[in-house]
Amino acid sequence: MSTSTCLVTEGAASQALRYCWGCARTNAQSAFVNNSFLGERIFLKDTGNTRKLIAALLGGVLGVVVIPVVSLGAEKVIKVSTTTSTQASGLLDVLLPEFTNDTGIEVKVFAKGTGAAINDGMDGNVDLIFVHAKAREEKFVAEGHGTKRYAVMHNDFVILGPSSDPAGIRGMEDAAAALKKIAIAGTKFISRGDDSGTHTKEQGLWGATGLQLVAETTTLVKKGRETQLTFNNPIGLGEWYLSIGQGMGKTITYADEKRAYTLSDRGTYIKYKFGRRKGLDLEILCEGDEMLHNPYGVIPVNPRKYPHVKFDLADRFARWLVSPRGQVLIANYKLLGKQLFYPDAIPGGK
Amino acid sequence: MLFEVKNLTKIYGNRKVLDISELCLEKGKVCGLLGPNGSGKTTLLETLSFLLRPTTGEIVYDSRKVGFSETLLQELRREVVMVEQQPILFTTSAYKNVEFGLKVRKVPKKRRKRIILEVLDLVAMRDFADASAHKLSGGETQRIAIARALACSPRVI
Amino acid sequence: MDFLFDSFVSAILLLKSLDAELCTIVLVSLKVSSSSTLIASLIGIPAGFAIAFREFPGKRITITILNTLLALPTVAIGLFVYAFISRRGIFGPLDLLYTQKAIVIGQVILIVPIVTTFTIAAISRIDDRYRKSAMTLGATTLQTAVVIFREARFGILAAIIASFGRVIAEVGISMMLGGNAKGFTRTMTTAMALEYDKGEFALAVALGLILLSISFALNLFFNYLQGRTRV
Repeated sequence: MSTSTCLVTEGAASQALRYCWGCARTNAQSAFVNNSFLGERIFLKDTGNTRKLIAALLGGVLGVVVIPVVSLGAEKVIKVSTTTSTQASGLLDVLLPEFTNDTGIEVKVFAKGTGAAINDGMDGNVDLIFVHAKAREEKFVAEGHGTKRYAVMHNDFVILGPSSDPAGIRGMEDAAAALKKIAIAGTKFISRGDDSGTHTKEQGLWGATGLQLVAETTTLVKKGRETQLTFNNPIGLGEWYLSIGQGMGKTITYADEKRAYTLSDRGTYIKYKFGRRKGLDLEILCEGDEMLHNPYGVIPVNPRKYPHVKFDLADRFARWLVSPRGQVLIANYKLLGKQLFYPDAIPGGK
Repeated sequence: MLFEVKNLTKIYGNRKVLDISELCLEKGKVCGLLGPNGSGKTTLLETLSFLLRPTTGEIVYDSRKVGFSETLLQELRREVVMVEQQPILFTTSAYKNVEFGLKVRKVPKKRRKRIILEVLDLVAMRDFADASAHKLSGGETQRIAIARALACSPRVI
Repeated sequence: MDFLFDSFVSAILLLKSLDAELCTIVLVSLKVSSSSTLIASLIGIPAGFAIAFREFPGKRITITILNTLLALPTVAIGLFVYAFISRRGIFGPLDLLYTQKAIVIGQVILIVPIVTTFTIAAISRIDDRYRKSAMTLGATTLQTAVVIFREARFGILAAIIASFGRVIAEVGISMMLGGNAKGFTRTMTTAMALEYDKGEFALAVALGLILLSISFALNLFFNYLQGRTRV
């Protein structure tokens, strides 16, 4: 076998070397190049992903804290944290444009569970909250986070279930008794489990059934002090009682998929049952109980606690909601021909 | 004649690498192959050791015409072993490298050991039996590669 | 910064008390992620092998498609699988939706392209002389494949690690197909999303820290494996 000999001058050698190095580098990189677009890189490179994850996590956390505080410096814009039900029912889509028309104030809405909405108020992230968990709202005001609770309106909760009604609760009026029947039959029940107003109501109803409940307590540290979070649920978590931690719409879809029972506000149910082309199999099986009453309140965040909140504008919105103008709009709001909310601030609104 | 080659060509894309009208190799001879870079020495050797299929032409090996089906080629490869100019060893011990061909041929374990030690002696590498193959020097690698080929007791190397 | 500090202390408190809910969440995460990684490896590694090892028409386009699939958003996979296993879908009667199996199905779809492309990359980087050496020493196609697999094992292990990292950290599929049912399909990432929704940032960050520590521990373990198999 022959070997060829070659003579390379110095410059050529370094050039050749550089060329080879370039190739080697390109090869080494090519394995990642294909994978690295669209931000998927963090997970694909196995070296250094821990550091990147930390950075991403910290970045995310900072973003959450900082953005709501620094943005929105503009005049005449207020932020309200509300529950998913007011947004999903479409009520706000009617109220807000009218309010802006009347006053020139723009309202930005953040829809979440009642718990998260109240937390937003406590942290001064928003100018007012519009939620439905009366006891917690009163506590919110009592603790000085808000100035005053305005009772705006109410609607009611209903217990939904599959049309086949395996637990046999159709037509029952006593909500607690209905839930008890579901628990004893062991048919699936989907819980919001997200610390929302509906979830609060549901826990109260379970308490009224007299069934043995499991309390789960998590200890957390807030502002340097240990605080405890407690949730109650009947025995059978993960088996027949599914706590999914999601919004009302998602919970309804979930219950429909699983042919399960759930507690919902009437507005979201109507929207999902009749507002879509592919309706629901779920039906209202239990309604009318006094315990299913669902009052909504609006509370401006206390400016003495958070001087940056736009109290004047927020208070104007709150007063507008309970004024005859706002109340009439609420009373006239119909979803698919059905009245959803009953104004509480003017007599005879019911 | 061990090898008789007629009208052999090998084309990569549109480049004709090999074009041999006739070539005969006798049994029991050592043959050398000379040529400049890229003239197709390796291609020819790989074709003759049945690693590559020629584009056209025929090879008669040991007076049998070679068909190019994978199973047939696998049979033939058991008789012809190629050692490359710059051989590469499997990332394991030198011993296991030499063992590979024997294992593939299902030689019983006891005989395997005898053969391996024998060929390692032949290339004076017995002391390196347990060394990691990729830590050997160029010359040592070369020798283990030869031992690896010899262990298979091929007819052509 | 109070908030970060609070979260950190909360995380340590949760870990110290071996909070039952936390343990369930972590176990569900690990169980689901390792199942999907295992299944995806059983599909992706042989597939990567087949693609890298042989020439066939459409090989390049296949690799391009696989590379494109790497960028598939988890929510897209979630929707796609949802359409099939929803009660109104073809596989509706199997009652798969909102189960751990559903998450595994989605995650397998997510990471099969990762395992496959990484395997292809690992194998293509292996010197062709290994193949030729094995073949000239008389190995059958399968035996040659085993040799190449051995030589490519670091790369293939990297494929598995990357896939595991992807599934344990993804949230879209777990949320859409698993449904975040407490004690059943709630994973670390869906739990974090939920705690964020509830406004319990401390718990979300605590879970994030735990997720990080688990990934770190696993990477140490894999690192150890890789170091050990290196001859």
